[in-house]
Amino acid sequence: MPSVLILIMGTVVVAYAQTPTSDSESAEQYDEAEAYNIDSMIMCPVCPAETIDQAQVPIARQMKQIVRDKLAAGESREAILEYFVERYGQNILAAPPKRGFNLVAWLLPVVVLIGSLVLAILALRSMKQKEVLRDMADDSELEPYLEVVDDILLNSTIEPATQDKASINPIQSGDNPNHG
Amino acid sequence: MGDLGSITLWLALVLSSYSMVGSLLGKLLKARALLESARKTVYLLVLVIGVSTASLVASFITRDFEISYVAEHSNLAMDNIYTWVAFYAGNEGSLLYIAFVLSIMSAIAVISAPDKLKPSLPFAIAIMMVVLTFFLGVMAWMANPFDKLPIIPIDGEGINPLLTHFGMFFHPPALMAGLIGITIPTAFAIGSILGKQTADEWMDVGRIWGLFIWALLASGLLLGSWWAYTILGWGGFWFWDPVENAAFMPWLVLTAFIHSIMVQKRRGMFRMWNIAIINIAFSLALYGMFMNRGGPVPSVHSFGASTLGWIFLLFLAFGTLVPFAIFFWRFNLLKSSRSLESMISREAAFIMNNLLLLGIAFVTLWGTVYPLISRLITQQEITVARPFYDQVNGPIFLALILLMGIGPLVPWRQANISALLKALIWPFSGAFILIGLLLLLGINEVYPLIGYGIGTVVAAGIGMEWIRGSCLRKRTFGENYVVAFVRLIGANRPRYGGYIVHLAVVMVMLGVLGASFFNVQKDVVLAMGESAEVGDYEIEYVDAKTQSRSDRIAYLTELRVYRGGTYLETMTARREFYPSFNMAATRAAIKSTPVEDFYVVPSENMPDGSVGVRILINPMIWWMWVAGPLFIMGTVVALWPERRTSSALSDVAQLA
Repeated sequence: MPSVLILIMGTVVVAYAQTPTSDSESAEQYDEAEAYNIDSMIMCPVCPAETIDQAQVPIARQMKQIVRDKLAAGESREAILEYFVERYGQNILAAPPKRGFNLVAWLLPVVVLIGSLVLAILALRSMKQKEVLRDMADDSELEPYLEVVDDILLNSTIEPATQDKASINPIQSGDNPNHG
Repeated sequence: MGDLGSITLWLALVLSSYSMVGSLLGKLLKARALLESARKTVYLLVLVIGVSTASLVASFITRDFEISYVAEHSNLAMDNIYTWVAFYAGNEGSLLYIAFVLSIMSAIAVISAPDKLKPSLPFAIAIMMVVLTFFLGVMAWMANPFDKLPIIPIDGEGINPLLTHFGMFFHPPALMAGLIGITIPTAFAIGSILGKQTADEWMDVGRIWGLFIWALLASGLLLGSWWAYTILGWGGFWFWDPVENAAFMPWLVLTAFIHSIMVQKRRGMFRMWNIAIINIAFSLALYGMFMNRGGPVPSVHSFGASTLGWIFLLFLAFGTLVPFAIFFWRFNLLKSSRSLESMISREAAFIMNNLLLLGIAFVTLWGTVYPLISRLITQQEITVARPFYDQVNGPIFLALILLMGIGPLVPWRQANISALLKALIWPFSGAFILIGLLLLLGINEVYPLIGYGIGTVVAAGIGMEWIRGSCLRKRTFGENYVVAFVRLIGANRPRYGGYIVHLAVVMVMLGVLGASFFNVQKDVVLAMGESAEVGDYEIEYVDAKTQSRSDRIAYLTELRVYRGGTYLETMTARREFYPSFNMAATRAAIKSTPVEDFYVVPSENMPDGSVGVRILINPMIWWMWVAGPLFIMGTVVALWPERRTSSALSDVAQLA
């Protein structure tokens, strides 16, 4: 079974290596997929909470055209986004930039999630230890009762059922078993 | 009519206050007669608020424009069928709707409460009545649906055109009912603490109501997505809009609740945690109501803009502090008798499930709140929209769905690791095979590949259980496979109902991944007779019609659709412009197949006859809508009551 799994994983890796990477675009053209990605990072300035790829107002269309013109001229994603930020302010971006104070926006969720996972594991571990301690304490509480049980068994007159199987009951007359 | 409505509203306020105080005093003074009358008042309230509701409906039907609310949300041209929507379209009416729903749910909860909850029931009633009194009070003093206008207008303003859609008949009422419905399990949880019933007595009602409200909210959310998809005109289905998030967060926490309550049912664990979670869900529901009515962040919803924000904020504070105070006060009574035995166990998987779900809720809350924090600290306006949520919540969702596939295969208490790995071999192999196939087909985006792989793990795990279980029944009882399968589900309804819901979740994931990563979008302007190509589709603009109504102008655009050269069909997309609202509502023309949606929506009708259209190809989004009924079906199966008589045969079946 494990070997089958390795075989399958190997096939997957080989297949992935075979897939062609996206080809580069010529200087005159732009990659529509990249343009679409940038569109979804820029908010429409006049619509309530829409990005320019969602909005259908004239200004959104103009901004999309600017994005495509700049891409065709060879500008990078950062440069294009910076262009809009210069004119509209930081809140034209659909998500906080990943620098400065705004890193907090991105890192805090990660910290909280990992932190709560660690807390949960620690809390559960301590619950487990308490349970183990309690089990041990239970045994000592049962001591006197176990001794009574031993007495009854010692004084019992019932014979073991079979002799050929290994005897399950180790208590025999005269024995004084040790319960520690 | 309006006067009757107003009078019954005030009467209801008096009655709910009486029931609330009476329940508490009756418990304090041990006065049975008082408790009895406070309980019966809960039933009476349904009637009284019902009359108030009916009089508002009647005012709509008779177009009584003297009542301000009726004049704002209807007009003479409105079809009567939209009365249902107009009722809850605005702030005041939706408050009345919420009060009515809460009164009905409270009455059902009280009348069906099991006998073992008798010590806690008065406290639970008091809590339900506190919430009801709040809503009735807000209506009576601040937002009366029956307020009158000094001069009766000749015609009303009409209903918001965005609401005249099939989805709007169910989406807002389902969501509002779901959000207020969280009051019921919360009331039983806190009530049981106050009633000193701190074992697992409230668990059964908690589970049933939790599941029911969860399904209601899930339906409301999916319907909202569907509505946005067909009517908002940009081909998307989820904005991460503050109001959307406000309904999403309680649902996430409720999902955590319905899972962790299984651990309490099975092993008597997580007692404290379950009460904490239901409190959190309740607080988030109140937060949602606060956001929806005068919240500080603008949204696409803009529903019922009002100045009531502060009173809902106060109630949010009250509804959070009081339950948690009670929780911490009686904290030590709630300790479970058992604890976790192993980190690799079903219990631990449920803990992980809760962590991930609460994590998503936290991220969503954080995204809604961060702009305010940024404004406070850096004086800078920052937007937090789709890209943030997609990037941060996306991986958590994937991890959650992976857990959904593995979790059901992990035994309770302690798992034998090698046995667990053996059980996982087939699902994971299936996942890798699928990923390999997709790669060969040319799909190489990492996210969807991982997502589809995880979906395979879940589906394979469920499929294997079903096949194994059916085969076992066939061997044991001699049933054929179909009968065995049906009886298998019937024999363990919570488990298999849950599996159906898990499959629905995978279907939603299919739709979301397909439409998000593989969609194609094109905006074009077409003159009459012109064609445009998108993907391997071609559309030709062939006809335009204009229809005038008293309150709107409808532009119909007829398009012939070809695919790979062959004619498919003629679709009609429409755009309706409402001058009095200065708003347009669109109906996209959608050709929907399980493989992809071909979606055309007009964005502008030019004076020269040409039309601006947006064309979208959305792969696999069909699966998301089909998942909706499956969610409901799974919940119904999980909640379907089992016959009490348990025979040896059904015990054997339970092992399957």
